[in-house]
Amino acid sequence: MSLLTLRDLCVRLGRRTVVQPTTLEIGPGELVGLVGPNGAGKSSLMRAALGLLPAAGFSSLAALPAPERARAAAWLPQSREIAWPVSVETLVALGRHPRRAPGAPLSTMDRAAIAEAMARMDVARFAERPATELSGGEQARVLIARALAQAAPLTLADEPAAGLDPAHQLACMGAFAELAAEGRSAVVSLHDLGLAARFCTRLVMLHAGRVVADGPPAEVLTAERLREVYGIESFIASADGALVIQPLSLTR
Amino acid sequence: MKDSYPLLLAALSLLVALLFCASLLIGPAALGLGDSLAALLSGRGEAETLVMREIRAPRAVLGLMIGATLGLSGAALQGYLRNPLAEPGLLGVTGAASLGAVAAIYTGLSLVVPLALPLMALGGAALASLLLLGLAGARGGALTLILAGVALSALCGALTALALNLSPNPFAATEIMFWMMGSLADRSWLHVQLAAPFMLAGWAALAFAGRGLDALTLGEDAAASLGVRLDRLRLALVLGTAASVGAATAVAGGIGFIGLVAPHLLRRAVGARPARLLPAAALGGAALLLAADIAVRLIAPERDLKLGVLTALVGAPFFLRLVFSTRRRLA
Amino acid sequence: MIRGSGIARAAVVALAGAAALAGVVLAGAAPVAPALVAASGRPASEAAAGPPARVVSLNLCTDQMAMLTAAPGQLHSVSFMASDPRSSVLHERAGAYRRNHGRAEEIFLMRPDLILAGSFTTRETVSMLRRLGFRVEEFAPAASFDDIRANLRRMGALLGREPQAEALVAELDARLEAARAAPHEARPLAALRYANSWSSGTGTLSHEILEAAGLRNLAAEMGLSGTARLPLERLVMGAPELLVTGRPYAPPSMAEQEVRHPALDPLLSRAAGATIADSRWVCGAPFTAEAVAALAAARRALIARGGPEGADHAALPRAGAPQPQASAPSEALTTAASAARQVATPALEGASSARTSAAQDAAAALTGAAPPEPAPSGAPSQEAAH
Repeated sequence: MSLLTLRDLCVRLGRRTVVQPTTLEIGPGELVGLVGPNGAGKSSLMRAALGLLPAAGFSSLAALPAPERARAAAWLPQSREIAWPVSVETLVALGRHPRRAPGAPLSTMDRAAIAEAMARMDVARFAERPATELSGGEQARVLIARALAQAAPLTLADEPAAGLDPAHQLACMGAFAELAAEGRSAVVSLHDLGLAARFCTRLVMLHAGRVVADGPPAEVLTAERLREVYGIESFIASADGALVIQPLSLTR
Repeated sequence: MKDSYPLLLAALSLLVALLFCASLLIGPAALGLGDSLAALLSGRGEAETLVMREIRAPRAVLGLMIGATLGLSGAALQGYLRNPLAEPGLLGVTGAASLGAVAAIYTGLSLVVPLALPLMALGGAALASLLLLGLAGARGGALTLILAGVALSALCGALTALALNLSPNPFAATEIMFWMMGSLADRSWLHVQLAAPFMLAGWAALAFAGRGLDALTLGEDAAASLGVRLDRLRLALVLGTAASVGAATAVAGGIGFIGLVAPHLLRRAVGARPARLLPAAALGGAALLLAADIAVRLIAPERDLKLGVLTALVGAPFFLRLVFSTRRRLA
Repeated sequence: MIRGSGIARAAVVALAGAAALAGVVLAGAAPVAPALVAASGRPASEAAAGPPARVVSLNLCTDQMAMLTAAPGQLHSVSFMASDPRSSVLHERAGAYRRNHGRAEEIFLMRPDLILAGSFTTRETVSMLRRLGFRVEEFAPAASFDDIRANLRRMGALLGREPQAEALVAELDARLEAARAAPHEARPLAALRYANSWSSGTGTLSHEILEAAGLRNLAAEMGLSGTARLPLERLVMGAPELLVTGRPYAPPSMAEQEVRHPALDPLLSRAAGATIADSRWVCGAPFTAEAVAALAAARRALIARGGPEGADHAALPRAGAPQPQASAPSEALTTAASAARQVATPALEGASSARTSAAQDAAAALTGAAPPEPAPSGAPSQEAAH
């Protein structure tokens, strides 16, 4: 059962092709890392897949009507916008929007999902505080909690770990990994190759709008490929059964 | 933890009810409390009844409805644009509505087709709303919006003044004050009949937008991903604002700042949640306008002090203070 | 940069100096102008030699007084308002004279011996004309019948036509006498209502017109003097028996629509109305007596009906009470009133007396819905449409 199917999805901005025709399929239980240099088209690909960007080709999510799509997938955008000083709990509760009837109060299931999401992202102690008063990292966690509260089978996140301290980076990726373990899936775009290597079950590497690699981290993150796509020399090793990647220097 | 929201709404409703009653009891014809009530409820005393039922009652009703309209539309615009400085007066929606109304009256169209008055005001307000909402969005930040509003206000004001000055009717030129500043003096049930259906329709459209506004707290992308239909939301906002503010302006002229002050005062009390702010700001706006209308009759009973003068005297310094406190976010 | 600022500075100084020089030259040249004019026109000092041969009037009221008083050929030009059928009784006669728009250049070219203006005629125009060496006589708006008599006599003296002026005063007095209420007759309460809730209290011509017609003035009884606001609520509480309002202008205004407030409906359905053309009321002149006569007729009709309780009588449309002196600034705001939007009353104007130019009064603009009260069939009909 596929959670997301893309067939020849292609995004054009003006005359420039931002995302080349891409065919991809995401099944349950996957934590897919979307990696690639800046401007490779990661955000555009995800937004087009969700139908937030006009695109040619087919996306199973974009084909759904809005309410169903909201139940099928959660989206965490890169711009961490919080317009009003609402309480953290209210913000996380917005994730339940697709499942609530208009004007209905929060159900027990809603409350459970909210509490669990806040606990996972370690923001439960901020529940009553206005979200705008938190630090950048704390706000990021709150927004991730919102996406988790949505309890959708598929979660797409655009650089969720950016700006978080190491502990919370690990916690964030750990939360997504737990989702995968439960049979749900997540597509997460990352710049930190170490995190990608450590947590993702599958990596999709984009370069200039084209998918250049798709597979387990060990296969995708080779020194050769990193040199070619990123232009960097890196240290690759194995520790405790986990892949360790550390960029070292620019390729001359 | 208990939710204080129902309590807030109840308290605001009580305040509005009190101000409504006070509005009924204040006026140039010095009627005692007993006489007023007797005249209003049982029609005792012919002249008193006329005063209470035909002059004061419609004025109070309009004060309530128009105040609610302004507060509601202010809260809705702020929620959609994610900007605490938005309100129909500042953004030129009221000015455009005035222009439409002036066109209807001074060409004589509204004498032939009475509905032309609210409809043309509605049209003006709709055009302004479309323009503004088209400018807003990822590219148009807060500053763009406010500047566009200033330009639109100035343009509509100038065109209104031009139309009034060109009219051969000697009264027309002096009525510019009414259209710029607004007044509820001598409004009758005719005005209520003309405006109320449109205001109610506008309220319905704006109420429908409440849920989407909550989701917009996260930004347009996230809101869309949560299932909010942004195009429908925009339509509800345009129609709701145009209908309600258009009709309100058509019968009472351009009253500003209520849509700015009411939501701002109540935002903290509702936990900054846009959907909850809508009914609260409506009640708050009604209270503010009723209070202003009462003040106008107490301060200068024999003169025709325009309502908008009072709201501007209170609202403009308020606006300045707001600009100062949010200036870091603006430019 | 430094070079540029030096040049800029020099340029500024040069400009300032040129401006100052120009100012001095022009100021010095100014006193020359009247001398030039006076040389070509008739100097003011020669006016004493006889009545003015070429008179120009800039004000509607002086227009009409002059037309009535002047000798043939004496009056050269009247203002454009004199040919407006709505405000001017003598609008047909006004066609025989040249029209002016009150601008100094056109007056100057006419080379008049005497210029008649209102005391509210544009100050700049009047002072300009005086500086150019013309004799300008200003007439204040009449606030009473005594003022009207004084104005007429002064006009006669200025034009050297005293006998004619006296005849007009006598005619005015005769008509006022005819309209006067007998001591035993009742004096019903009337209220004047112009747009924006304005009314006329004591010390105004409108007040004297009401009094002369044998009516009491609600605004005066409430202690108002001059042109003052009479809030709608107080008007309703005062319960007048006769309501005198204005007639709407054809391109409408909002203020006029507000004069017909639903709160006045019960009053209007029982009260009597009288129709008086604007032109009879605007200027203090002999025609003012016609306004008085019309109101007196309305008073008698009201009394004959046995007071305000006569329900079977079809109420007449309300009286047109436009403008007290058109020149008073606040009074200038209050001319016509209105018919309301849907609940319309046609304000059909009949001439106030059969003798005057009934055909010259314009019919009112009829508004959309049918009037609650039928139009009077008795009034002399046939108005030329506007």
